[in-house]
Amino acid sequence: MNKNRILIRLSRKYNTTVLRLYSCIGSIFCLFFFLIGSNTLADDKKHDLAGASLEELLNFELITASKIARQVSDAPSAVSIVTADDIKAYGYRTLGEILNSMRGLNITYDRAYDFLGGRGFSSPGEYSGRIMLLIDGMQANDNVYNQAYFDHSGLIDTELIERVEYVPGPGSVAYGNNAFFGIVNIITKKGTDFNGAQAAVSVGSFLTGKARLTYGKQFSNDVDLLLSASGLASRGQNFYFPEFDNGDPLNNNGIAHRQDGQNNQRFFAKLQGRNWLFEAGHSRRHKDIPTAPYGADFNTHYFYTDTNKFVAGQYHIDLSNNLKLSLLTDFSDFRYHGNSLFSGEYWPDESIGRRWGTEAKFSGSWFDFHKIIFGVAFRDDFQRKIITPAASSDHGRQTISVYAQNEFTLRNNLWLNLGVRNDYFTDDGNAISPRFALIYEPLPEHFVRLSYSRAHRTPTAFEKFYTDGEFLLPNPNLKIEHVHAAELVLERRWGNQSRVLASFYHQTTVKPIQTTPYSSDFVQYLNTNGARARGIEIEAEHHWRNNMRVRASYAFQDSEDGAGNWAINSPRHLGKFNFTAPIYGDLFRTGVELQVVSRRKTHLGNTTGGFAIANATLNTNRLIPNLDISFTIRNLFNTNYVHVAPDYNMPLSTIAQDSRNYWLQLTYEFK
Amino acid sequence: MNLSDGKFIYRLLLFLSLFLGWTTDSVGQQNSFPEYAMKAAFVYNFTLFTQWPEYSENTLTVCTMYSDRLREELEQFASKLTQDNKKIVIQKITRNQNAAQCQVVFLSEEDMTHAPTILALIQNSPVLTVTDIPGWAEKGVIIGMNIQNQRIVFEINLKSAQQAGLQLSSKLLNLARKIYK
Repeated sequence: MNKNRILIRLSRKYNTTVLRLYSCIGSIFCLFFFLIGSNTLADDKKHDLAGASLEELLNFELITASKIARQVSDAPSAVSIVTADDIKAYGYRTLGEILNSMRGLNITYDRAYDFLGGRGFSSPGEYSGRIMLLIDGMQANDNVYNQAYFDHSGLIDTELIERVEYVPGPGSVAYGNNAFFGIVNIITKKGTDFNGAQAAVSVGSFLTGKARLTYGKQFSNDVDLLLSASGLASRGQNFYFPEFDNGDPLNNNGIAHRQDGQNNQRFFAKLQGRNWLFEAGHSRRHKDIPTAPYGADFNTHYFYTDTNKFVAGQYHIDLSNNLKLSLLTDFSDFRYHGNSLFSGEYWPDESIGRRWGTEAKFSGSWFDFHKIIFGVAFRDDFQRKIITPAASSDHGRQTISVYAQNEFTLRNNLWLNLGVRNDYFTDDGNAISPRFALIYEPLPEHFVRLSYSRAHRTPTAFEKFYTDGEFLLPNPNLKIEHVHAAELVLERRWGNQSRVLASFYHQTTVKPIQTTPYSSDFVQYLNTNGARARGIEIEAEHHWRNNMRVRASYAFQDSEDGAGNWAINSPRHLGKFNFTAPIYGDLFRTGVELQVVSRRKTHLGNTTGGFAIANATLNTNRLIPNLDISFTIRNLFNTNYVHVAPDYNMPLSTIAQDSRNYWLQLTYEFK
Repeated sequence: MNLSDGKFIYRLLLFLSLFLGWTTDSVGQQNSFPEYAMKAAFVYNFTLFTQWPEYSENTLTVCTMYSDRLREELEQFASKLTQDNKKIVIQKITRNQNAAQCQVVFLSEEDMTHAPTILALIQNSPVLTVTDIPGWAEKGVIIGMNIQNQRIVFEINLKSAQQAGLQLSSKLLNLARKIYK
């Protein structure tokens, strides 16, 4: 324990420097507050709006009102939304941090990847499969592990995100395979949101630095361009793992020394016109892994490199007054490279996933009070290659999908939504995904939404074919898994300023794919007994007229595995609290958040205690011409807390998380 | 925790300044106005450039659904103004009321679920529909407002205006960012 403290202190040595920096900046802020707080802001020379002409009005700037965001995703479930304003107010650097602030969700970090947990899913190490990640409507999961990338390996810088919507529950009716437990829908900003060049430099704890350059412009012919590039480098921390401090001289007394570094590079380009869009992205992340998973040699150079690339195009056309057609096509390329040492021998691991797809989506409005959507999609996963020293495999496959959906307005306060989709996979056969939803507004602004849906996920290439030749065995006979979910949502709104909602759900999986425990003689993915989850979520949100806003939620979840036992890493209680307020008009903004997670069960069967984490951010908003400053403290009260480790991290059952850490960002606009 | 004096004073200062900051009212910079006040001003200006076919009452009825903020701003506006000696009346409608009695119907983001029904109800009636829901001018609302670079811009669906029998002045059309025909 003593050693642990010394190490933590060592690794925080850098933090004290940052703390001093923080004190300095804080004092400067204070000075500003006092200097400007008393007099200059009282300068209230308002023009009279009532007397203004239309031309004058067009030139007036407006102060945007804070309001509850409206969902874009077409789903009857209780959607959570985080907007660009929230990202700025709370200083979110990754998609994982964004999702972690949402009702009922929690991120588990094993110092390799961020895994998402929510209603009835939680097990770390499942590569955040079973969640579909969409970027401007394009599917961004890789096709070897079906993983969605939420950490610094993700495709998009958070500063380019206009909004993130999380749609809980099965979504295969709209997106087919792998929209199993939920959908993360990212909508990126437009060039006009930047309107020029922007450069950002940030520094943070654990010797982390990031630089970004973005250019955005809308041309007179309505063509909008966005270009962005960024890079991040972090030295990371040293860790002491008592589990590895077992007297083995090779284990460096349980200290993983400089095995936590990471770096990434990202490019993003988007060009769009009135009815077309072209988008391309690239991200590459290299991460050192300090935890020696799969029984690798401890304190040796173990790393994962993930590279994702995509290009996508969309074209929308009106075929007639009542029929619209959207054509979508995309190509993506995923590379993974890992290296580790086992008993002194290198084990290089590689996978390549490449695919392209195309879709024609029709939207018909022939009949009043009916909105009909139907379409066909083709997807060719022509390469799903896994290369290990023991064996290589490459199993491509194709998918053909058809779907139809009708939204009836039965009465002026009653809507019915019916949809069905069939996916045919050349290797796994057919899967049908229906959805039924009823939306009722008995009183103005009181909503009742009842829905049932079913989704599927095909076994991944990794689950079916990966093998090390002795311990990890392939299973080409894996079958499709399914999930059924029913949800009742009660919602009360007051304009776009306040809302409260309660959601009740029940969800069961059928033949879910899971591995045998890593403590057994061999490890293999199998279709296992169905599991069940049920729960209640409550959320309240309010936006004040002076642009303060608050959001608080509580989720209770009761999640059982196939044997009827409490599911691993599924906290029964999750609480979130977010509050942000402008200071001195709009010149500053603070954001404070609190996240509470109750105790969880580990793979060893014991429980690990719950925790509460607070984060705080202070932003300047046009205080200094062209320059905005943002300063974030994560884990404000320096809480010691752990996440549950994936099974393959034996002998570790939990992994310590970051102590208090700092992040300072300067954003300069060239105008 | 053992705070050194300097640290303590700095923390006290930070706390005080944050506290003072929060209690200070939101202050407008020159030539910038709250969003809904601006939107209300635009709605009023749109009515100046719109010609309705003859209607008997001496009042111009502007209807909103669930956007309380816009309605309050419009009410403030209406108390100060008249249009050609006509009185401006602001009215809240719910989904069950006949929106066709209004001269102007404002559909806000809050009204999104009801917008298709309302639009179907007042089809071909002389009602100027205005919205701030992105993309809805293209879907048939006569005037759509959008926020761009902290300013309001608007687009016009001329086809819908013609179907409603409304005449929009050429000045209004000239100032529109986009016109759907």
